[in-house]
Amino acid sequence: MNVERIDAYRWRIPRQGGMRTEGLIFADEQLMRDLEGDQAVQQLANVAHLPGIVGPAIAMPDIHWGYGFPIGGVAAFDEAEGVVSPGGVGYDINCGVRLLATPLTLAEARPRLRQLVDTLYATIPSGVGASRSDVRLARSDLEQVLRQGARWAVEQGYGDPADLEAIEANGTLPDADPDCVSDRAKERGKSQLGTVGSGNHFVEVGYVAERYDERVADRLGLGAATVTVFIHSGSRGLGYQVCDDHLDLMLKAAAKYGIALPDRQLCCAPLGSAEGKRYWGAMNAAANYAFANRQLMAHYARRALGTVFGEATAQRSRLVYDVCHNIAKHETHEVAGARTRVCVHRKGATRAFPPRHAELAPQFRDIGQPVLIPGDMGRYSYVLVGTAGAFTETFGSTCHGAGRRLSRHKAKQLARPRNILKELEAQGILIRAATRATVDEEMPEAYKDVARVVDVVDRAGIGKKVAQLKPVGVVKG
Amino acid sequence: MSPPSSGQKASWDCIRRGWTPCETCWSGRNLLVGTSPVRSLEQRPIAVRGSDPTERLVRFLGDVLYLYDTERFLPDRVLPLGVSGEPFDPARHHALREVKAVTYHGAAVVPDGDGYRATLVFDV
Repeated sequence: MNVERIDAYRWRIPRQGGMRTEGLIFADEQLMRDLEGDQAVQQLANVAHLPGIVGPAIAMPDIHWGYGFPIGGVAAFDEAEGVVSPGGVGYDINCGVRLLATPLTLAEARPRLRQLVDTLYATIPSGVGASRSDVRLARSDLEQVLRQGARWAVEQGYGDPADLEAIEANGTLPDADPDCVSDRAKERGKSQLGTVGSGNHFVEVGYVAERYDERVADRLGLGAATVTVFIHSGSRGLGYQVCDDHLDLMLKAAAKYGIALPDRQLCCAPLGSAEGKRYWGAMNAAANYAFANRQLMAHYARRALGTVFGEATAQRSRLVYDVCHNIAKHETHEVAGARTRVCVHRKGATRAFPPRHAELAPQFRDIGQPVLIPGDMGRYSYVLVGTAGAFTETFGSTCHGAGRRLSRHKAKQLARPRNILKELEAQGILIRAATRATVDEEMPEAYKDVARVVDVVDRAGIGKKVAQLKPVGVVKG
Repeated sequence: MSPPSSGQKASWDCIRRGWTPCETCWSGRNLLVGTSPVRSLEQRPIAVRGSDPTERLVRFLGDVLYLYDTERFLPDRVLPLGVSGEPFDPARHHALREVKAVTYHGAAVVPDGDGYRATLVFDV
């Protein structure tokens, strides 16, 4: 694959073969070296083959190998001539992150930190097959979850109405159509609301370690040493099944509409087709399920804070923000000098709209969209805000995390002779996990250094650093 | 499901052979519970769906994952009408991880000697 350097943080994949547009990668030299031998660059070029793509196929600095689309990829498609692809969203539809800021400082929380992490572990089910016996959804409830997302949860008493103002799209995507969600998907989703799941999902207690923009950090409630709770999860089995169901339909649709696929996992259908519309209704419904899932998890995190530190702490723990990083959205962007409606696929990428964008809630209008970037469980995570640069260059998108450096298999091999739990505890980070396997697979060395990823984003102008968070306790699935 | 027609036989054989001798589907089960022993105590029906051997294998394994996610049913062997296995027992089975799906990414089933070779990627 021919890749050309543009500047210190940008690389171009020129059009070649059946590519309809070029590829654009944001990375520094080290991150590009990390990509050697990874299929992600070829996957980005494959995305550029899809019909109706506008602008370049874009990769964020946390790009890594995915299924069909690379993770860390952004692709926009013309509404009239373009396609929608379940592989461009991923199995975990509206996988995303949510950040709570507590009224506690690290010094205040430290003496009861172990109790807090234990309580979070007991309060928010995690691991394989995690389900809640206290939240069993009747069919009619599930329909409302799929239609209303986080709003349904708040109306049921899981959280505060003010939370909705701090969620991307206010926690409800209006195009959701529960009738497009299969019975199988609904069966998988009925007992998993309010659960973490496994893999790279987590609930993390941390604190504000550094502030790069004090004005914005203050606006977000991220004072120095403020204790935070970071939640990473998505649409659970319901979302996986929605993706699976529609991949089958899209394989047929791609053949029906004569779309050549460099990889079956890129299967897709025209946005205006019956198949495209069906996926759209189901995807938005699954995304609403994910918003509700994180809303419940945040509610139970507040319950845990209340149990350990008192009810006032729970009530004063504010939702900083909640973002999706696996989603497709209809948005207006400037393409070739004209304002154009496009469908932006973000798979392992975060929307990062600039200050004054009309879609931002009033409280973020002057600072830009908050962007939450989890790192690994041993180092740090970041809070950023969106920029005009992102809106111009990347359809208002930025990175979503550190990006894996080692496969799960390699990470386990590396961890086998070690005790990762003890190593992290020696660094002052308490881990509670269902299995050792998850901890080993998610060891810090398995990930790129998220600081490098975020620095590229910041220096390239597609995101602006606000604060760094460091972990002190992590619940893993 | 009725016995596979001659047109389906190749794919059915690939599914059957892929599973029983500790190959493709054993790999899938190993992802779920490692080497925990699984007995054939109960049966679950699975219909063969898909337009080619690769699609049929991906869908078949997707159905097996669905059984695990909704019923905690672990597969042991492929039967003409589905799979046999037993419910997950925390006393005897060690749950390793959640497997989201069997992907089509790079999926391939090709003849290999007197059997078939399957390449599949699981999303975990």
